[in-house]
This record gives sequence, structure tokens and C-alpha cells, in this order.
Amino acid sequence: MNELKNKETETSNLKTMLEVKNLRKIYKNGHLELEALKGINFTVKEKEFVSIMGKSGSGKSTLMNILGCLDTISHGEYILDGENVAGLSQNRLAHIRNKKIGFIFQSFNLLPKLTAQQNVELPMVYAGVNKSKRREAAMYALSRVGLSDRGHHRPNELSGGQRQRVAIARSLVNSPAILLADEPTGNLDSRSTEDVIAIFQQLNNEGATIIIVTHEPEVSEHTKRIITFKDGQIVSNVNVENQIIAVQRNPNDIE
Amino acid sequence: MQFLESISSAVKSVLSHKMRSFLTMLGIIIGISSVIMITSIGDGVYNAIHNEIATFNMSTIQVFPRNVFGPSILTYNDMDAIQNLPNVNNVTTMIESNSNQRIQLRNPLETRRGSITGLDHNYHIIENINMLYGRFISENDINNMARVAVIRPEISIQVFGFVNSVGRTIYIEGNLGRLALTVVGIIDVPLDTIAAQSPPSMALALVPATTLSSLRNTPNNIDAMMVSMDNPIFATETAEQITRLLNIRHNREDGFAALSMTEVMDFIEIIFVGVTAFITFVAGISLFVGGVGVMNIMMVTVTERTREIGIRKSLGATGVLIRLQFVFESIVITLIGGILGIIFGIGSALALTIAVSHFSPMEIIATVDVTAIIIAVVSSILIGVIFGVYPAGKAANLDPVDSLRYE
Ligand SMILES: Nc1ncnc2c1ncn2[C@@H]1O[C@H](COP(=O)(O)OP(=O)(O)O)[C@@H](O)[C@H]1O
Ligand SMILES: [Mg+2]
Repeated sequence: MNELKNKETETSNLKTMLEVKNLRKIYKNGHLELEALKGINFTVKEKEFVSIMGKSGSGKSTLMNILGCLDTISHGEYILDGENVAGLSQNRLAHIRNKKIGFIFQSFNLLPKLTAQQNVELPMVYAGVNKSKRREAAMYALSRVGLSDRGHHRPNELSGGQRQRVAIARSLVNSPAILLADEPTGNLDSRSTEDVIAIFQQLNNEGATIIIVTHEPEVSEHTKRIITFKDGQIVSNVNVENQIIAVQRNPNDIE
Repeated sequence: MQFLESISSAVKSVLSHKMRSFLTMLGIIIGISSVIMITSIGDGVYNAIHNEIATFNMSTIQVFPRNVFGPSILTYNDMDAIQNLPNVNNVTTMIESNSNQRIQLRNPLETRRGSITGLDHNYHIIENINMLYGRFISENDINNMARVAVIRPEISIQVFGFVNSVGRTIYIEGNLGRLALTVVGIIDVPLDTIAAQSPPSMALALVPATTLSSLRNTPNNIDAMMVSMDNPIFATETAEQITRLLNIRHNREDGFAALSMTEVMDFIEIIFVGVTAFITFVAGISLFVGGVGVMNIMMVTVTERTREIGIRKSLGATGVLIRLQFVFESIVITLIGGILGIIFGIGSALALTIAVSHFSPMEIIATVDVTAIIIAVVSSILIGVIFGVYPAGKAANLDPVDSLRYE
């Protein structure tokens, strides 16, 4: 009883990273209107590791794009790290994307002509970090995802799993408030999936706040909370009883 | 910092499509190189003409009837009248036969065709003729309509086989009849100047003006006269007084032209300014077309790289930075095009003038004008900006979500 109370006060002391209130997103296509999000409410506190599940077309990506400040809200409120995002200027949104958000895509979205190292440096270029600091930070980020020796490779010289780990390194370099991953393992085999999940868990243990979209239970069972979507609405929002710990292979074993 | 980053990424991007970038530059290269080539050659020609004219006596005025066809109405008496005008130092004349005269060469079967030029005894004072042997036409020759000739070394060699033929007789046949002329002098012909192309230097023989006019059956008439002035500053006024006097003497409205060398220079200058303006206009059109080509390719580039733009935006690139990146790419294309155009333009100007100098008596040296180069560089950059702004704006305004979805 006492123990449970302690745990609750601990949680409530944690900062609210992200809060969504009655969020609606309506796509207009000529006369056609499609309500992709129909009034979403939820909160994510720091150090949380949340997965969002749901069938294809249920609105997960729509939500993630809004959370990542890539898309705009039709109705409702979105407060990120204490700042109401609705109605901010394009420049301010670019700044938020750069500094507060680390976005990881299903299709990696690395620039093919840049090396892994240069890809990882890119958010720091836009943050105005000088060259030597960028190099250092990019090398550190690559080492965190087990790719220290792949910095000079271009994306087409890397496996899918390695590309996604470069993308994760890239999402980390500006120390964002939150990591958002939209089906990060959707294009990966099970071995690479396991590696990527292990990295997310490691980052979460080190204090990162993470929201991950997936429709694979094998992924969501590694997170601490599962939000389930159906037709643009949240149908359940539950804490995971027994979070499964993933084990990352020794980086030297990774292809 | 991000600025430098944009420039280096723009250079990389342009260099990664070498062929396409080169084809896009072509319009700019052609536009810039033609301006540079024409201005370089133009400056060279202008300088050459200027140098030639500078060898002429700037204090002379050429006087001739406006109607150059038919018999001339100018007379020896007109010369005397003009001699009395203020600021007039010396008056001399030059008349020409038709160019169907034939001089008998050493080989009895050979003749050479050309004209005979009649000159006044004081011609050499105004036009600076130097003698190799003998003397020039004298006042006595003029008064006596003497059958004497001054010839070039070349003619002397063809007729006699040696240069100094003073005292010998040459024979010329044509519409003036068969003339026997005693050689009294050999002139030193200037080489490689416009003066070498002037009638005295081209003629078969120089004879006293009076001799020629009497042979033409118009003993009192001359074709043209040259007036030298005491003070060239009043060239315009003196020229006006000459035409006024001649018009009164011949009862004409506007029968005579008096052209000072300063006026000739001004006239040449006007022609050059006109030609330069026209070339600039044509080059402007070609640069505009080139610019539209650049804009077209930039639009294609932006569309092709929609996804890249989406990725950069998702990582925090602002619209301004995306805009800068594409404007820089456009500038890199037009600037490289401009620089290639300058190099190509200078190269072809040098090649052309060297080729022309082989066939022309004037030495034309293509003159590279630093101002033209600066203008070329600046306008290349401006074209890059003007025609890059719209595609870059399109890139900057792309929606991040839509562009990330673009395949
Ligand atoms: N840009 C868009 N324009 C119109 N409809 C869209 C757009 N993006 C997504 N949708 C629609 O919104 C709904 C939710 O899509 P999405 O968020 O991509 O689902 P999920 O990621 O869960 O598969 C779908 O019905 C989809 O067709
Ligand atoms: Mg989706």
C-alpha cells in the first residue's frame, strides 16, 4: 500500500512531455472530408515508453505526423514540453522539429548521397553546431547504436537494420525531448527488429521518452504502455504488466 | 555557417549531374561568351582604328562635294579662296583617274592596272610623305602641268628591275591617252597602316594635280581638298566656314561636306556605341532564354528532390534555408556558366583577331576589358538569383508531410 503510494507520487513528479486534448484531424479533398482523428486525449510523461497499436488506416501515422510537428491540427490542443504547438509559425515549427523531436520513419528517410556520418550530422547543421562538435556528437551517436565503424558508408551500402540504426542515431543528436517512431521495424526482419527494440529500451533506460507506432505485438510487448487505436479513436490505454527486455546482440555480431 | 553549408551542398549537387548542369549552362555560356567576344574584338578594332587615326594629322579637314557622282564642281580657285579663311594653314588637293590605267612593265608583253593620283605640291606637308630618292612634286611642276611622276619602289622594281629609277621614263596608257612621265622621286611607302591603303600609296604613279586635271579635260576642277588648320580646337567652326564659303561661291544650299578628323573620330565612336548596344541587347535576349532554361531545370530538380526536401524539413531545415540552398544551386549553375563563357569568349576573340591580323593591314589585338568581365560575373549571379527564386520558393513552401510521402 505504502509502496504503491510512493510509486504514484514518483510518477506524478515526472514532467509532462506531451499532452493532447480533444485532438481532431480532418482531411479535406475537394468536397470530401475524412476525419482521421476523432477527438484524441492522452498524456505522455518523461521517461515513458509508449507504443501505439491499431489496424492500418486507424490514424496512427496521422497522429505521429501531428506529434512530430510535420502536420497541423484541425481542432483541439497539442502541448509539447509546455508549449502549445497549434498556430505556431513555420519557422518556430522547424525549430521544434530540430530541437525537441527525434523522428524515426518506417522507410528510414536517409539522404542517399550523404554518408551515415553526414546523415547523422544533418540535424546539427540546422541547429548551427560547428563542424568539430558535429563530428564528435555524430560519432558518439553512431557508437550508441553500434555503428562506430560504418560512418563512412552510404545508405545503399548498409542493411535495412543498419540504416534504421543510423536514423535512430540521427534522431538523438540534438538531445530531443521525445523520440517518435512510426513503424520503425515495419521494413525489418525479426533479427534487426530485435536490435532496434533493444536500442529503444536502452535509450529509455537512460531516460529518453519514446512513442513508437507498431502493429506487431512482439514490438509493443517491449514497451511500458500500449495505446490502441480504432477508426481514429483511442479504444484502450493500458500499462504493460511484464515488459519484456530485449537483448541487443554484440555490435560485432551485427551484419 | 549554415550558409557555407548550403553553398558547398549546392556545388556538390550541381557537380553530381555534370552533363545536365552543362546543358543547362549552355544558354548562359553562349550569351556571356558572345558579349565578351564582341566587346573584346570591338575594343581591339576600336583601338586599332584609333591608333591609325592618331597617325593622321588631327588638324586636317577633308572637303568634297556631296554629290560624288559626275564631274566635280570644286576648282583650284576654291582652294585659293579657302586658303584666305581664318585658322586655315594650308590647302592641298588630291584627284584620281579611273583605275583602268595600264603601266608598261619590264617584260614588253606585261602591263599592270591601276589608277593615277594627282597631288598638290604641298600634299606631303599635310600627309607626311617621305622620299627614298629624288624629290616630291614641286610648285613648278604644278604651274607647268609637268609630265613627271613620283612612284613607289614596288612599281620601280616591276618596271625597271631596281628601286632608284629617278630620271627614267614610265609609260601609262588608258582613257587619258598614252602618257610618258619622267620619274622625279621614289616615295617611302608606310607598311601595315591604313595610310598604306590610301590612294597615294596604291596608285601606279603620283603626278602633279594640274597635269591630271588638264588630261581629264576639266583643267580647273579638283575632286577633293584637304585643309590643315592652325588650331584644331576650332575644327568645327572652320569646317562650317569652309562649307558656307563654298555654298556661296557655287550658289548651293548644301553642296559640300567638310569633315574634320575629330568629327570622323566622333562618328566612329557613335558607331561603336551603337554596335555595342545592339550586341548587348542580343546577348540580353540570349541570357534571358538561358535563364528560363535554368529555371526550367530548377523546377525539375525541385520536383525530383521533393522527398529530400521533406526529409530536410523533418530534421528542422527552415524554409529560408531550403530556399537558400536552391537559389545557391541556381547561382552555381549560372556562375559556372558565366565563367566558362568568359573563358570561351576571350579565347575565341584572341583566336579570331589573330586569324584576321594575318589578312588585314591593321594589327587588331583583342582587348579584354575588366569592366566587361565584372559585368559578366555580376549578371551571371543575377540571372541565377532571378531565375532561381521561383523554383526555390516552391521548394521552401512544400508541405513536409506531402513531400515525405512523395515517391
Ligand atoms: N493526406 C491525406 N489525405 C487524405 N486522407 C488521408 C491522408 N493521410 C491519411 N489519410 C487517411 O486518414 C486515415 C488514417 O491514415 P493513417 O494515419 O495513415 O493510418 P495508419 O498510419 O494508422 O495506417 C486513412 O483513412 C487514410 O486514408
Ligand atoms: Mg501508418
